[in-house]
Amino acid sequence: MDENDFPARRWLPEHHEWLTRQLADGPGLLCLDWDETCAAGDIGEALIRSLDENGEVWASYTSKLESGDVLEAFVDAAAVLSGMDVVEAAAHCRTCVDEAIRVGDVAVRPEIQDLIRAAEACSWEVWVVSASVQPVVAAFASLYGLASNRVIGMNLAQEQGRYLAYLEGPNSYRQGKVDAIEQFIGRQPDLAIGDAMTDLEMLSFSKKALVIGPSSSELRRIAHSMGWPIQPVFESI
Amino acid sequence: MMFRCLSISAVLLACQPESVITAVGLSDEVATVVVVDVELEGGEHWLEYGVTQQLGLSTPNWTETGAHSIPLLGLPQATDVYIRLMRDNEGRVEEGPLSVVRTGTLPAWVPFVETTGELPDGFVLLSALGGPTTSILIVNQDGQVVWYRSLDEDVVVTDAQFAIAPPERDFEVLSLVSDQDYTVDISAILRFNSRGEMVASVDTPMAHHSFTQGPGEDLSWIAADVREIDGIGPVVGDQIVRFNGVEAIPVRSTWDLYGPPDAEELALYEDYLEIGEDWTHANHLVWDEDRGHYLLSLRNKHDVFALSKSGTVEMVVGDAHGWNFEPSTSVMHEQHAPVWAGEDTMLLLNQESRGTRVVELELDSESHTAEATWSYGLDDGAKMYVLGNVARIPSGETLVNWGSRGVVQWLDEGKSLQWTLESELGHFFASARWVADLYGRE
Repeated sequence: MDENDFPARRWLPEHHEWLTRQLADGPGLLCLDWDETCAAGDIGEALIRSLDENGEVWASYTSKLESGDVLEAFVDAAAVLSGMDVVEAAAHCRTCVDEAIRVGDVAVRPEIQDLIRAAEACSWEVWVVSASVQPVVAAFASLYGLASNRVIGMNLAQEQGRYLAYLEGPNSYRQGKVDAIEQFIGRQPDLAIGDAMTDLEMLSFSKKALVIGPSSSELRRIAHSMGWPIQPVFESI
Repeated sequence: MMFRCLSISAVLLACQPESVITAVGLSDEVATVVVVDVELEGGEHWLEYGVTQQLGLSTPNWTETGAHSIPLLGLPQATDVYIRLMRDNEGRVEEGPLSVVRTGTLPAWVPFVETTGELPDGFVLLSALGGPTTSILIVNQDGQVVWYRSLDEDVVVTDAQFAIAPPERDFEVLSLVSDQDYTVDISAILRFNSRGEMVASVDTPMAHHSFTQGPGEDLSWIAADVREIDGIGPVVGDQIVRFNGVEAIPVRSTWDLYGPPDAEELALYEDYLEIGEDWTHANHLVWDEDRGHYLLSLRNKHDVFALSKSGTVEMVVGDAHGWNFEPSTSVMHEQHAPVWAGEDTMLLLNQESRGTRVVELELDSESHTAEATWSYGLDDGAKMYVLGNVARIPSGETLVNWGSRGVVQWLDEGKSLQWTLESELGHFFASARWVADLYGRE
């Protein structure tokens, strides 16, 4: 693999070299967090704002985050799609992604687009494991060449083709990310990349890990102690 | 920027006068089309480009001097593209410096498609409907979208074709759009250039399903022909309409090909149109320039007509017209998209009891025998009811678009499956057209 296959761009040189070596040593399983890892910004939050006409869901979501009820906040965020037909929801999620990119709420990270392409060229299996609701992450991940069936996210239950307001299967938050990997992929990742404490269990479960950001000093401390490379955030929006 | 003259190795020479790349950017409409502005002096010029520094792709040649804007076609999204201006200066090949630009990211509305197997070469133009967005796409061998264009929310696109006569060194796409059930007459054939800009539009009142390029430079299409029958009400027949660049001329109506239907016949057909009783249900039209006739497929009548430019019936193939189909299981029934695939060989999609099949019929017009020399269906034997088409590539391969199934397949000369493309979210493809080269080179 040469520079053409995986350009250095804004990767620190040592991390670019490290990743290049990992990919070349493959094939393997690469698991990626989505928001603030693969993309700048939070597409799950952009989805709430796109559907929350009176701001109630957003207020509840942020309140729960502040009070530490993070899982509950994520479930509320996922439930904004409840009542929608599956195809209608997918259509809305695609519109939401296009609009969120247009207004600058989220941004594609070309470094990760390149990483995914390079990994797949080296026969790696690439999955996204996100705590945002699956359809909107899948819509965004399609811009990185990933099929919907390679995206694990909060999975709303369905009835007669419509989303319900509660989850089905493992929640993809903290230990739930590991549970989801075991259930849907069935093996330990060779490499995981994340940005937040919500990714800690997935990063720890993986044979190797890299941290982008990270968003908390606690994760930075853990990353140092674990010897995980820490890539400074590419950009903030 | 100066050219490096390849004939003298390791020595850089200034080749006067200079030709230069003045700007490199992306099309405003299509993030995967790179536009290179050049200023050309004497000699024969072209651009070499590719997604690696080894390049590998090239544009056609330019001999005209002055400023030109050259599109780089066939590129995937979000990829670094390396570009070099080349010149053949009286037999001496010179190369300019390497430029690099990254293609943009596709909009999220672009349908996600996946492929398995290998398409040997070329590109496939797809008209996508059934999902969240109506659009036209071009995909490469790997299923990567290299060109796209969305269409208004209130239309469906039932056919898209590469223009037979595009501007030199470029491609254009023609697409037929209409409303779902003919109640709002917004039918038109839209023409888009390689940069995704709509460059022309032809109103096609009551057009549906299919259009064709020809005769000559004309455009022709199928249009609903609604007439009143006493005691029944409005009945929807069809007519071929030809547009000669100035006016639209009715060529032939199915009301002239058959006697008016009675209530008993109309009861056989699905009642889904608001403007009247569905009758002949024309579902495909193609002009064959070599034979000088149209092939018109009428689903409900199970007939295919060959009609001259003026509408004279040259041949009609169908069970009801004395044709004997061998084996009898391949009798033409609710057929779709018939095209000529050889001297007496017709290729079409047929509805059989075992499912929708691609059928290759060897026609003997003297004995009125239609022998199915090849038949092929999807493994699950499912029926495909909406649109779709099949094409024989000049080199012998076959492109099959399974319409509402959202599956497109490529079979090699030996009829072995080589490549499958599938979509998601209920998207399917009204039409699929193959082209070897987006610049129109042989």
